[in-house]
Amino acid sequence: MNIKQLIAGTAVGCVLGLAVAGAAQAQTLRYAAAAPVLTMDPHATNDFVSQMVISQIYDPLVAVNADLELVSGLAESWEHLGGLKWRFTLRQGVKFHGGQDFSAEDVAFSIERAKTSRFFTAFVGKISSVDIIDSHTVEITTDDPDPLLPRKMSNAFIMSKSWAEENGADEVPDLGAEGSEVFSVRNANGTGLYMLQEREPSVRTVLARNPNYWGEATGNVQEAIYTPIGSGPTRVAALLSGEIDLVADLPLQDIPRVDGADGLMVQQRPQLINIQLELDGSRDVALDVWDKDGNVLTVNPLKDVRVRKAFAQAINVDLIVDRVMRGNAAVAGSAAVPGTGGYYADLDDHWAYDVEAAKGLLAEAGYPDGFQVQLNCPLERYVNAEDICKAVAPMLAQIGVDVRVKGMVWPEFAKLLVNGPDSSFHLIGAGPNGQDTQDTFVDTMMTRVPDIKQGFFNWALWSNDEFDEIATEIQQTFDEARREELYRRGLTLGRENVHAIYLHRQVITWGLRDNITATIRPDATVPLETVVIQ
Amino acid sequence: MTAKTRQPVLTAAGPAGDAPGWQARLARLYDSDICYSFRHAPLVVAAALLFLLMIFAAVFAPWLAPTNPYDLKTLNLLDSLLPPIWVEGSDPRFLLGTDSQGGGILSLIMYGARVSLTVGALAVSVSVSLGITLGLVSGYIGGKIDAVIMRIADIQLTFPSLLMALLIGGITGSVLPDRLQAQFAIPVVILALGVSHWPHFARLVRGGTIVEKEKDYIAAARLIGRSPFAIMFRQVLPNVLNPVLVLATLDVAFAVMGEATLSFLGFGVPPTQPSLGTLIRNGYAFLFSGEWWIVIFPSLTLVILVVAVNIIGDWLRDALNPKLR
Repeated sequence: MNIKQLIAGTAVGCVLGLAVAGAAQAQTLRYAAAAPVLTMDPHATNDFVSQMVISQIYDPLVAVNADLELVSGLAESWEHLGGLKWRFTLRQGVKFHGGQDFSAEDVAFSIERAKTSRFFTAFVGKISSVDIIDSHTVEITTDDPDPLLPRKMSNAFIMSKSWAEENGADEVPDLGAEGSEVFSVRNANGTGLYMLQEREPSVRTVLARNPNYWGEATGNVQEAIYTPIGSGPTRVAALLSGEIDLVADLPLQDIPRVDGADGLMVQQRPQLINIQLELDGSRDVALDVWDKDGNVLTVNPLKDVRVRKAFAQAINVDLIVDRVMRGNAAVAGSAAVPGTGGYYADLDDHWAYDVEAAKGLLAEAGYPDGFQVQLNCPLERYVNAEDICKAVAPMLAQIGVDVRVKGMVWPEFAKLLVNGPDSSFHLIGAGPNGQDTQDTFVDTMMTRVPDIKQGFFNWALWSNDEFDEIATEIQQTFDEARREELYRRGLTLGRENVHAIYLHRQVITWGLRDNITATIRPDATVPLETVVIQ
Repeated sequence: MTAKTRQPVLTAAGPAGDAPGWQARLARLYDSDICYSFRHAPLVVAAALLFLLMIFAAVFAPWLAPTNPYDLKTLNLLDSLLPPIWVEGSDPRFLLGTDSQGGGILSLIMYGARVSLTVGALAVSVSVSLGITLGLVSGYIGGKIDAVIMRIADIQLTFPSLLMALLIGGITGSVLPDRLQAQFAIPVVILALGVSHWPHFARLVRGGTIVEKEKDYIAAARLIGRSPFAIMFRQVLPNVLNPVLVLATLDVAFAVMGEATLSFLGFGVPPTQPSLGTLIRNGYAFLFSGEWWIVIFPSLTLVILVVAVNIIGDWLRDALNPKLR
C-alpha cells in the first residue's frame, strides 16, 4: 500500500517536476539495523532494538533528551515528598492514538503491569504502590527510599488501561513462549509522536506521525519504516543503493567505504555499555573447566582473585581495540561508563598488559601449567563480539590457559543466562539501564538474589560482602558527597577484585544520507523526533 | 542406456591362462579406450591434475600448510588483515594474506578443503549406496515395492535437493539436544546432502536393471539357483555401474557446493570449524571493505574445484558411452 503510494508519488513527481517528488518522498525515513523488533508490547522486553521502536509509540512519565537529561514526559513535574513517597503531576489533555483520554488510572495500570515483567524489575520492582490522588496526580511509594525513581520512570511506558482491558492485553506476554500471541504483541496504542501503522514481524515495522501529539518535536519525519537486515554486507549494500536512508549499526570495516561514498556520511557516539568478560565468582565447581588433559576440574579456578587478575593482565585490550574494533572503541577500566552518574575518570584505568606477571599470578594460584575453559560468546548483538572472543583465546593461550570459544546465537546465549545462569566464563555487554552507575551496582554487581530483586544481571555470580553493603547504602542515600564516596569505593572494590574484565566501550556508528540531520543518543536508539530530512 | 551394446561382464574372469603380470596389466590399461581418450583430452588432464593437487593439499594440510590457523596459540592479532604477498604491506609468511584473526588464508583454505572434500565424498557415498540398493531392488523385484520406492523418489524429486537438505538438517537439529549439535554437525550435513540426492541414483540404476534383468545371462544365473540378492549385486550391478560412476563424479561437485551453501546459510558446518563454506561466509563480511582476499580466495578454490570435477565428469560420461566414440 505505502510502497505503491510512494512509487506512485515518485512517478507523478517525475512527470510534474522535482518539487512534487520532494514533497512525496522527503519525509519518509527508512532505517535499518541487524536485529528485528521482537514485540510491540512495551513491557515484554528490554531489548534495545525493540525499545528503540516502542519508545516512539509509547511515552514514559519522565522523558530523556539527547544528552540523557531528564525532561518532562507524560508527567509535567515531580517532587520527592520525603521518605518513600514521590508525587507526579500528569499532563492534561493528552490522548492515546486510539482516542482514549490519558489519566492517572493508566499510569497506575501500566506500572502494575510492568511490575509483572522480569525485565523491568530494575525500574519498577521496588515500587510498593501507586496511589491515584486525582485524575492527573499520582503518588508512588517505594519499598526503600529511592533517589533515582524519576530516572527509573523514564523506562516505564504508559499504556491505555481501557484499551488493554478491551483487547485482553492486561497481562504481559511472555516473549517467545508458545501461545502468548497477545493483542499487544502486534498492535500498539500509546501517546507518542508516532503511531504503529503496519507491522510484519521480522520484516518491517511502519510508523506514521501522530497528528494529535501533545508535545513539540523538531523533526519532520512523517513516516518511518524500520527494516531488520541481519547480514552486514547486505545492510551496507542497501544503504549504498539508496534502498535505506540510515543504518544504525554500520559494520566497522565498512566505515571508510560509506564515508567516502557520495551523498553518504558516518556519525559516531560512544555507547553507554562496557564490553566485558565475566568470570564465575562464587560456584565451588566451575562449569566447563578442564585440566590440560581434558579431565573435568572439580574446583573453581576462576573464583581466585589471582586467576582473575592473571586473565585481566594477559589480555591486550589495546590490540583488540586497534585491530578487532579498528579503533572504534575506548579501553575500559571501571564498571562505570563515561556520561552516566557515578563515573570517575581517575578510576577508569585498565589493568596493565603484562604476560609475565600474569603467568606468575597463575602459578601462585596453583595453576602453573594453566587449564582449559569454555568461553561462551554471543555471535551478534555486540560489535564484532565473535571476533573479540576469538582474539582473547590466543592471548590467554600465552599464559597456558586454553580457551574453547563456544559461539551462540543471541537467543541461545540469552537462554543460557536467563534460565540458569549456566555459564562460568562469557562475554557480555553491561551498562546502567537508568543511566546511573547505581543501576550497575544493584543489577549486575550485587550478589545475585533475584527474589529480592538484586543482582538479576549478575550472570557470573560475583559476590563481595563489602560491596553489597555499599550498594545497599547507596540506594537510600540522597546526600551527594556521601554518594560520591560510595561510588568510588564500590568501583575500586570491583576493579581490585576483578568483578569482571572490562575490555572496552563500543561506539554507535550510523551510516546515513547526508541530507539527514539526526543526533545519536548514547543509548543506541534512533530518536525520530529529532530527525530532519532536507 | 549404454549397457545394451556392451558385452555382459561375467564375474570371476575365466580361470584359463596365467594371470598377467602387473606390467602387462598396466600396459593393457594404458592402451585401453578410456586411457586413450584421457590422454588425448588436455583439458581433462589439467582438470584431473588440479583436482589431485587439491586432494593432496587437503589430505596433507597438517604437514603442508605454512601455519595452523586452528592452533590458537600460534595466532597473533598483530598479523590480522594482511594482504597477499604481491600487495604492499604484506608479510612473506602469509602467501594469500590473513583473515581478521591473523590466520593465513592459504592454510585456512587447505584445512577448509579437508572438511569440504570429506563431506563431499561421504555424502556421495551415502547417496550412491542408498540409490544403488533401492534402485536394484526396485528394478529387479518390481511390482508394489517398485511402485512404493519410485513414488517416494518422485515425491522427493519435486523438492529442490538443497531444500531437502535444509529440511533434514533442520529436523535433525531440533531433535538433537543442544550440547550434541556441534559434535554432530558434520555427520548431519553428510546425511542431509546424501539423503537429498539418492533418487537420482535410484532411477538410473532401476532403468538399467529393468533392461538387464530380461537378458539371458540373468535367466541362466536364476536357473543355476542364485539368490535374487546375489544376482542383483553380482550380475546386474556391474552392468549398470558405468552411468552411476559418471553421476557420482558430477555429484561430488554438487555435494561440495551443497556443503558450502548450507554452511554459508548457517545450517551446515559450525562457524568455528573450517570448511570452504564457512570461510566464504566469514569473508563475506569484508566484501565492501577492501579486504577482498578473505572472501575471493576461498571462493576461487570452490569454483576451481567444482569446475574441475565437472570437466572430469563430463569427459567420463562421453568416454564411457560407446555411442559417442
